[in-house]
Amino acid sequence: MNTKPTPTPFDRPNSYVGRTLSRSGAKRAVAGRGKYTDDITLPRMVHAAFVRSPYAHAKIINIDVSRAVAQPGIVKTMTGAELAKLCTGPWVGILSCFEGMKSAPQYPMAVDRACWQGEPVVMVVGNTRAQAEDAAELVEIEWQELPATTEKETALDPATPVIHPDLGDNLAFEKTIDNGNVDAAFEAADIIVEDTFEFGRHTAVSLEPRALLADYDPGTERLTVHTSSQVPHMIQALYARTLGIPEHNVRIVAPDVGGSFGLKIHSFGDEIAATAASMVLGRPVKFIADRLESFVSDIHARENRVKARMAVSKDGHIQAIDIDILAGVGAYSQYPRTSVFEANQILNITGGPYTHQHYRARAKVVYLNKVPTSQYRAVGHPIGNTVGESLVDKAAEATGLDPMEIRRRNIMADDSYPRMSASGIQMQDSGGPVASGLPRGPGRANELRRAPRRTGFFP
Amino acid sequence: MSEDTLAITLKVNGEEVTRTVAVRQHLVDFLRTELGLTGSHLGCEHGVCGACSVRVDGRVVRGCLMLAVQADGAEVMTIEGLTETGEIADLQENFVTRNALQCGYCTPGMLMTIAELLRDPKPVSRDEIRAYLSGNYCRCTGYHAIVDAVETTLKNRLRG
Repeated sequence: MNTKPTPTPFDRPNSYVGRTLSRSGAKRAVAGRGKYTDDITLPRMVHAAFVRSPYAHAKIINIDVSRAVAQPGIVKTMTGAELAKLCTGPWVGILSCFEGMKSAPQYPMAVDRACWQGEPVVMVVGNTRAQAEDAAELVEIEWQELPATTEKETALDPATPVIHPDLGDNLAFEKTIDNGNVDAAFEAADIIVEDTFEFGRHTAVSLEPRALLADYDPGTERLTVHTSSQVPHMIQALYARTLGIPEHNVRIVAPDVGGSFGLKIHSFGDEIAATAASMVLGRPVKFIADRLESFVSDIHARENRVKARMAVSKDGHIQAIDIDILAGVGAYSQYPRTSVFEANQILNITGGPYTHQHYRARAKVVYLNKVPTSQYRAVGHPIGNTVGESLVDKAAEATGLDPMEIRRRNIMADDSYPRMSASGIQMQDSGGPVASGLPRGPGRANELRRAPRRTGFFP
Repeated sequence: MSEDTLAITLKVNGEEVTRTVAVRQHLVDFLRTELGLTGSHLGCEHGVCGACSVRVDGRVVRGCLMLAVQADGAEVMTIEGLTETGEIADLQENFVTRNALQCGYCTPGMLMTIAELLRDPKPVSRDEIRAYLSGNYCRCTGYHAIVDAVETTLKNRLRG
């Protein structure tokens, strides 16, 4: 008889679980020998700087670059209209998995109109970044300011200006999940708790900003782009398609990346512009976003208002959840991953680990004259979890139950997987002893909060 | 507009260098672009994040808030030089062992700052270590491991 205990994954000799492992590259990093995009210098390299829209919404009447091009060290200026001619066409940030979503065509830089403060309008390329920035200050743009749509609450009102008239309204996407019989559950409920949650905008602020060094060789018609990116393969296809180069002639090199958090999985117009400049000039062009322009050109995230209510029985069983999401995104849906993933995630995950059957979630995503938004760190999860768990805390208070106890009564049993969530998401497993791991006994939640631990549900 | 320049002579990582620099050039840009010392990084360019920290005449300064011409005659030490001297070899080893970094972009600045704390080692609490590092941002939120690595290094030095 084999008396040896069955080894757990923790016991495997090659298991990484529970061990501290060194990262590859750590030794280089601590010695200051990391290689980030801005650490790369190429012969004949020049630097791009951008003139950005000072207005949330404004028509471009005229652009005069004559003083800028006359400055020392300036090798090129390019307007949005000039850049558009070098592109195969505009981007449209929609995905077919989001039925009915719409977005306006977008060129890498503003062509005749700027739709957010920070949208790139003119690129200036010089021998040094300082020279390019000096000259950029001398670009003269005549603007006609247009009314800006900045409040998501009124974005769909008939009186609110429509940012892209061809779309008909400012609605990017709407979706409703309605499972079970939510209205009946609320009518029959012992207790209803409700609240409205406002989430302000975040942005990634990777310590290394967006960075790109494009190097086009007219002799071989090959484009090499060194860039701080999480998605070199996506960028390869996207640059090839946008700039009309066969994909096999585009090489993307992603060196060390100084933080990204989702920021560097998107396409950015200024990066396309710098790459186009390399093709026109036949020499390497570097663009490193500075910190201030990062705030108005990196994707934003999290701007949502969620109205939420929960029906709960006297003994603390969640009967139904009903939420209403209003997401304020930018002036365009970010290409190619869109600006609607976040709201869709909130729909899918709110109230996630609990066994209620009746769930309704409505989302409206509206365009605003603000910086475009898209996926960033745990897309939608902080919002869905804040809303869901805050409702559970309110329900605990209303029923007089300990916050831990009410969760224990509602959480999906560890042996109930694979299973469906109330929102209709197929859940493969709990990822560990979640339900059985919840501490029992009165007052445990408050006790744990007073004595925080380094790991656990309430660290 | 023509650039005003000035010739400067300074010691960088123990070697004397003479260069003619634009008077408006920041020290960290000079180190990175003129001398190729790319271990010092630029995170914010306005003195907040600490990624550009270098040692000038024995004190840690923000390389983005000091002009290269201000370093004329100074002794400058960067992460490259500090590594070569072996002054913080134990700290660097503890950073690697404890995984006190993720993307590594803030790491050289962190190490420059901690080197100052280690030069005259005395017992400090974890909170004091955190306060000492409060001018160095890590956006990957690896502070816990960083404090661990500093604490271990400090304890070993005090025992040593």
